Amino acid sequence: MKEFFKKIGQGFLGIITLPFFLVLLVLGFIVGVFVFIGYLFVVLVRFFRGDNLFPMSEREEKAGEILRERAMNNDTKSENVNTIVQAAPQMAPQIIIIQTGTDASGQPIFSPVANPHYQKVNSAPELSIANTEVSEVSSNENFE
Amino acid sequence: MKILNNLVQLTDNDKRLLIAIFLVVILLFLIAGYIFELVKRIVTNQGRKIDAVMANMVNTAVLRSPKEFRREARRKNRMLLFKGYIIPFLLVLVGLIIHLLASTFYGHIIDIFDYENEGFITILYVWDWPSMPRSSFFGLSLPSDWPPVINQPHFEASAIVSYFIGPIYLVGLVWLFLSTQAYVARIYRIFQLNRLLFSNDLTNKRLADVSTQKAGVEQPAVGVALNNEQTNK
Repeated sequence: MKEFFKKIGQGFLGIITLPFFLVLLVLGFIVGVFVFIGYLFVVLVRFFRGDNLFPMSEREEKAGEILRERAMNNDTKSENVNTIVQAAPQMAPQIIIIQTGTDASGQPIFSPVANPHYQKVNSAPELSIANTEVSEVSSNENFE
Repeated sequence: MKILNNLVQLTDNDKRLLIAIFLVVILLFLIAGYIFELVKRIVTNQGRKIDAVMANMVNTAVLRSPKEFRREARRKNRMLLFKGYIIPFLLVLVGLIIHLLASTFYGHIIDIFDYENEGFITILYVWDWPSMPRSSFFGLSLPSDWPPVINQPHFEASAIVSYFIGPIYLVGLVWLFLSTQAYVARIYRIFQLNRLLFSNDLTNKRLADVSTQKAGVEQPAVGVALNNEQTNK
């Protein structure tokens, strides 16, 4: 309902301001035609000279240079990051063999089959908690 | 007093008519409201064009004062106006050339608003607005019916040139109207940005509040300590 009354109010406002808007447009049109004719002559002169029809101002060129520099810096930064990533050594998978005993001749057992604690490559070790008591330790606990 | 007397003497039919008129007025305002909203959105979008062309210069802080900003923005606006006007201008020019050439061939200036023989209006309905039926309502003379139709759409061979140049003029003029609206919208936007970009108003500025962040880190530690104290007890 609020929106409805708002729209009606806007409509009322629109009808009141319409003549002013039209006057503004007519004035804009008159000014625009003069500006257009003036600019047309300038553009024609530039065209016959072989210059750029819509040249950039000094400030625009300066802004363009700054933006180019920024883009270049960003590119070099990203290139550096890529080279660092590429140069980083690849972590080789490690095989951990835990020796647990010796065979009949007294030599240590390295056979994965014989060694129950042998871990497969890239497999996470399983954790099991035997009947151990867990006590909460807080950061503020006094151990004295 | 006269209106009051009239209101007192209202019959049921008059009341119904009054309600109908009221509803029609409300409907008109509502439609005008939607049109107003649409025009506002279009004008805002047209004005944003200046943001796009000035963004690089503003972002790189090349423009140091409102005067520099205004100068550059006006230069850009003139450029955009030229680009916006060139096609409709050429359309109207082509239409004018065809119009003048055809007029020399016909031996007189072709009237494109003529609805009988050679105008573009021959293919449109024409109403006789001045002789619209009117009736008196509470002392006011209001239109009571549609005006009589004085022209039914019909084809005229002598109006072929008008059928060509009429749409060309129409498209060119509508395009010119929109380009002018965009030009005015951009001028308004330049004033707006000039005020906003170089303003010292701190109303909408917010400083980063780090005090809450610090408290957020310490709070859980305190909470753990309290819990431990309670369990120890």
